[in-house]
Amino acid sequence: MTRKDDFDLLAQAFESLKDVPPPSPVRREAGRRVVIARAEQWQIARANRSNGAAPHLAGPSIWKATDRFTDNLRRFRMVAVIVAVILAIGAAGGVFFAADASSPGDLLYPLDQAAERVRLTLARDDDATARLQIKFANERLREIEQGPDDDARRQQALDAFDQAIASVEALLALEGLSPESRAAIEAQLAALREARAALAGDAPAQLPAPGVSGEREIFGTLQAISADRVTVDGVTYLLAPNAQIKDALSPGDVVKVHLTVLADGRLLVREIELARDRRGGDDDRDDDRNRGNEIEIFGTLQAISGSSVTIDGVTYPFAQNAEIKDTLSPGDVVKVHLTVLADGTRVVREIELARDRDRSGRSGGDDRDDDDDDDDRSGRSGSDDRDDDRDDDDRDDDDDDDDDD
Amino acid sequence: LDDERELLQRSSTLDPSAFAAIYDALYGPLYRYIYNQVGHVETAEDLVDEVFVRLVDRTGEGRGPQKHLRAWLYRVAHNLVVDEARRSAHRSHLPLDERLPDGEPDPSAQAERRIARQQAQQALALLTDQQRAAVSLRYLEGLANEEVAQVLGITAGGVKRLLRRGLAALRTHLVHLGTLSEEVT
Repeated sequence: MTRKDDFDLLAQAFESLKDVPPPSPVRREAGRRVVIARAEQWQIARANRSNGAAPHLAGPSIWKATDRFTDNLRRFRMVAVIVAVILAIGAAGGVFFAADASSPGDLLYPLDQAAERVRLTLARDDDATARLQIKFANERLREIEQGPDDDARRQQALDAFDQAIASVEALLALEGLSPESRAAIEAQLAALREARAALAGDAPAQLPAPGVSGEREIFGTLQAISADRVTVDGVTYLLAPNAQIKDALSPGDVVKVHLTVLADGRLLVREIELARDRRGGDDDRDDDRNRGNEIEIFGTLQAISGSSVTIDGVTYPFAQNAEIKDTLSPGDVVKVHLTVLADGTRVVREIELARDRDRSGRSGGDDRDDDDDDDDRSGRSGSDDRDDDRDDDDRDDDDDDDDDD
Repeated sequence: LDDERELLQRSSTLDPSAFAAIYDALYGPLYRYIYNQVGHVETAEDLVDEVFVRLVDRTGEGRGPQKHLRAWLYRVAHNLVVDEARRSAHRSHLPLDERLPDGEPDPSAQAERRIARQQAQQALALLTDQQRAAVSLRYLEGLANEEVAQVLGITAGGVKRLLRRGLAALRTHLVHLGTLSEEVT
């Protein structure tokens, strides 16, 4: 055997090594968008430096940035899931870069929002997150001011603006904010609330300052997850700034969510993970109850307009012929009867002040159910499905909450 | 990478389209290089993502590649692989991910390909880390000796020695694994 033959055989071995399992195309596309978004951020930072502004992105060392990136890799997997959906929507053409100018109701609007979520995922520190959230809230306001051409689009734009304001409010809970950023957020928040009130024809809502008042766990079916929020059983919760996402999650997973209850009743996700053999046969029953059905929630009213209410950071549109039974003001703890439409949308059928018996000491969460909470929920110390009337042997922390009243 | 110099110049201005072009051109080769070192798809995807984020960050900090873009990227990839190997020292390079593309309709030929690849991968995994990196960069990724030297931070002479020993070791391992017949020894 000659040296050349020997080399040829090695070359064949190398050839087989080139045949590697392909990477996920969705992951690859998500990574590409991440790189582009990061380059844009650096461009902004460089422009700020040349203008004499604070070099926001140049602060952390590369290692710190990389550590943060590594932390975010798990989130990227979820971003990839989102991008997969987006790719499916936008597969007809190269539409990504046109999305930024889109408005609610446009085909490209979900792409715009997904791109924002990617940018939030990449924010290097709390100050950067704050800047982005404020920027996005102002973009939502601009979208409304540009005048959506029909009521449905306008409502969608208003809802998006409400969500954006709630996201900016949540920023104040960030621990790593610089004093300058905190002051800027408060100023921006005041302006945003004023703009929102003007849009609704109301006085600005005066919200209590955030503070932590407790913890809560819920179990439910994950419907959507993004860089800054999750939707579980139809309710969207903002992620706390340092929220831990403990597993690779996908829509449809049954999850356990640890919520931080703020002093004003709003809920932030502190931790989310796959539920492990604790929820038992609850899922189907919950799903049944939340589809094409009525549910009741309690929470703190944050804003109310002619078309929607915002409870604990979640905005619900009014159903036609909705009843507003009391004179309500922001800050009131309210009981809301929601109708769950076939597509999962929740609309307000009736809203009233929560009476003491109703409230049972609860100021947040939802899906309290007075009828069918009779199975073993050992390990569930959460908010949902509380039973005010029964006295089952299988009482858990939920019932303890009730007893506190 | 034909327009390496132009891409470097554009990326130095943090032009996002330049980074997109670099990503498009080198994602596949970098992924393959990393995969052949770590043997796991998700790990390779994570690391190749990190390579490109470092490219953007270092460029933003004024510490990006100056002349040799491709070698710079492979060097970052190599360092990440080394770090990953340290972190997961308990893990073997094997078993490897076997989610190969379905390019071969004939099941028996497909099986032969898979076996050949497994044996080649096993033989590669038995090399020292430096030998494996040098052999992969030179013969799988097609880098010049000088580029391999930049990636590994050694001299061109050191690369030649690594390649000579690496190829000899690879051949020996392939013989033991049955890929090369005994008569060629």
